[in-house]
Amino acid sequence: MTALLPDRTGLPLVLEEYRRHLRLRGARLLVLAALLGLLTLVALSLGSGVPLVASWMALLGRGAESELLVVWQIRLPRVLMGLLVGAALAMGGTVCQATLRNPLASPFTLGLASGAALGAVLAIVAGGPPAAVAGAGFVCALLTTAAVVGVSRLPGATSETLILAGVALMFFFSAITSLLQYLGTMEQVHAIVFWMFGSLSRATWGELLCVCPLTVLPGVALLTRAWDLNLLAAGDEVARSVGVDADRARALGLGLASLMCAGAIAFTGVIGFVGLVAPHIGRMTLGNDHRLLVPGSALLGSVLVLAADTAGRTLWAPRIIPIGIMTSFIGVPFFVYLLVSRRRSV
Amino acid sequence: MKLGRYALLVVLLAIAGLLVTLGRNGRSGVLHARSGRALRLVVLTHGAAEVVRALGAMEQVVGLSDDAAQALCFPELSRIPVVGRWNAPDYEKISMLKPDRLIAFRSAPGPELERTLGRLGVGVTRIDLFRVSTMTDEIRALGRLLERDAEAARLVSFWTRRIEHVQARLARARVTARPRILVEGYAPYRSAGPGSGVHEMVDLAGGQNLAATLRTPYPELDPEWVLKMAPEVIVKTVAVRADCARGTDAALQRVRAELVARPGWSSLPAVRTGRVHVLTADIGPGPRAVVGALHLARWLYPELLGDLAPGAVCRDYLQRFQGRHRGAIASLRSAE
Repeated sequence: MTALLPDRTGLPLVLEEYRRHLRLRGARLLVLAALLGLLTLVALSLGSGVPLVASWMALLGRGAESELLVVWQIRLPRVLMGLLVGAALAMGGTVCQATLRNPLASPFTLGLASGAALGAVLAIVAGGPPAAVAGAGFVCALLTTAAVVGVSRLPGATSETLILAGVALMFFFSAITSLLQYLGTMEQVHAIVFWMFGSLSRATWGELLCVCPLTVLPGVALLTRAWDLNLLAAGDEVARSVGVDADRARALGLGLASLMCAGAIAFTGVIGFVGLVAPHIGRMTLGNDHRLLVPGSALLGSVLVLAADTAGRTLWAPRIIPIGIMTSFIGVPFFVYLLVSRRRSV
Repeated sequence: MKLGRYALLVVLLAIAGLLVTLGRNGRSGVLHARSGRALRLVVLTHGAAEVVRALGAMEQVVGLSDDAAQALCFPELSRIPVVGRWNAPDYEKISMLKPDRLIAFRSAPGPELERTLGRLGVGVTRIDLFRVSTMTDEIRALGRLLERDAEAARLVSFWTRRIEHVQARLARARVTARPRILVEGYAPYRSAGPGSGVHEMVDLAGGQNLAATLRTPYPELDPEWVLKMAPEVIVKTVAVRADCARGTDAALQRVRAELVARPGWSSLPAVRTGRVHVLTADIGPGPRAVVGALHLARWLYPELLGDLAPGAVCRDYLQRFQGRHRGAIASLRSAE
């Protein structure tokens, strides 16, 4: 933008074109937000406990005691948790892919999910209450990311080093988790498998109160630093030339992303696919500017998780299909469609 | 050309190896004890181990899985060598014990169990003892195997008499509306439907399982649906054994407290009337499932069947069939 043009009158044209381009993309973001709003309304209206119209009445505060209970104590926390978790996972994925400049990077490939799973499994095997399981999962997830980021601070380390370290930890922790499952009692195995599939069934207002600060505050911090992500994605040298400390920005970005994702999956269990694919879908629809991509992928992540959860509890009601399964069933065909129709490699 | 000949040689050798392997596996294991001495048994499931002990044939057991050795708190079990896990036995250890027969679950380990043990000359019997409906046949089969048909018949009659007594009283009372009961397993909102052992126990006890219409053995239920169906009785099964572990009461209280604290559960009829119960693993699906079913019947029909005494039935069983070990009887507790 600051490059000198031979003809000075061309610069305003370029700026005007750029602003128009941004406005167009911004409009798409608004459409996405509207879509999410609509989906939220649909999710709040559907369920096996209370029929459609009664749900709307209950949302307005009218109706039978039992219906109000179902909508306000079970459905609303569940939907809100889905929104938060989807946004957290997607934003985490976007940040990882930007800071590591690798399209396959996500908090999960950095070992965060495996670390959280290990912490939770250890707490389950030790017989701790659900709060301890969530806490252990959270702490272990953060420790794993700290270890991986620590490796990246070693001299001579590149972003490939980070990813390889993350993948190595992922395999190691998965092996330990599998061993614990193998040695565990029937009850422990059930609890472990239940946690690894992911579930929004346990969402309560109390849990939302914990998850909210863990996901919203880092999320807002990331939104304000989106421009740094643009610079990091362009390369360490570009970032440094503009005065941004690339290593510090990377560590901060990964730290915030891990905090959000750890907070999310500590309470819901492992919900895969969203962190990896939501950023890609965002890139295909909104472009590479992280000032749009970060909020956009958050919205997309929420849409994906909410759609998966709503489908999972209505398709085969009153049974619930685990959300980890539904996110793949819904996300993969859409992702493939986008890939094929755009004919662009990501 | 040379490559062609080498390839042909390799293929011929492979076919030969395959034929030899298939030929070996075709032979089946020994079905009866070698003449003269009693059958040597390795047992991988704690249910079958308990029944073998009830039939008085424990001295014939030469190997146990670590799960069976730990689950049953009968002191003499510590003398019996451990041969690995219920789903992954150590074949070398088993072959050193020179058993005649091995007892395992139907589902695990897989068919390689018969193949490997067939080569060692050991027969395999698959017994689950999960479900009351098949339990009587399985007990009789064990009795035939161990040549203790009379003891097996006594054990079968002990259990069937108790359960038929409950069925007769329910029939006499001409119960029209069965109480709606929600059964929860080891994971939150995971219920037990047709095909599971608990569902059968509920059915025998005269209950209407909420998950009965769902046709899957272990469905995960929507919390909203549970609130809508408003169960009158709630029973959660836990993996804790009340007969061996000390201090289980506190753990069971914690389980119950966590259950009733779930959002919206305070409005459920079961919670309002205090009919939330915990069923421990020792009287869940397994050799003592009838005791569990008696508890369920008492919880489902407190006025009609309140005089049933499952605890006494269990003590009676232990005294008559599990012999003189006071430790097991004295520490028996079943959850209320």
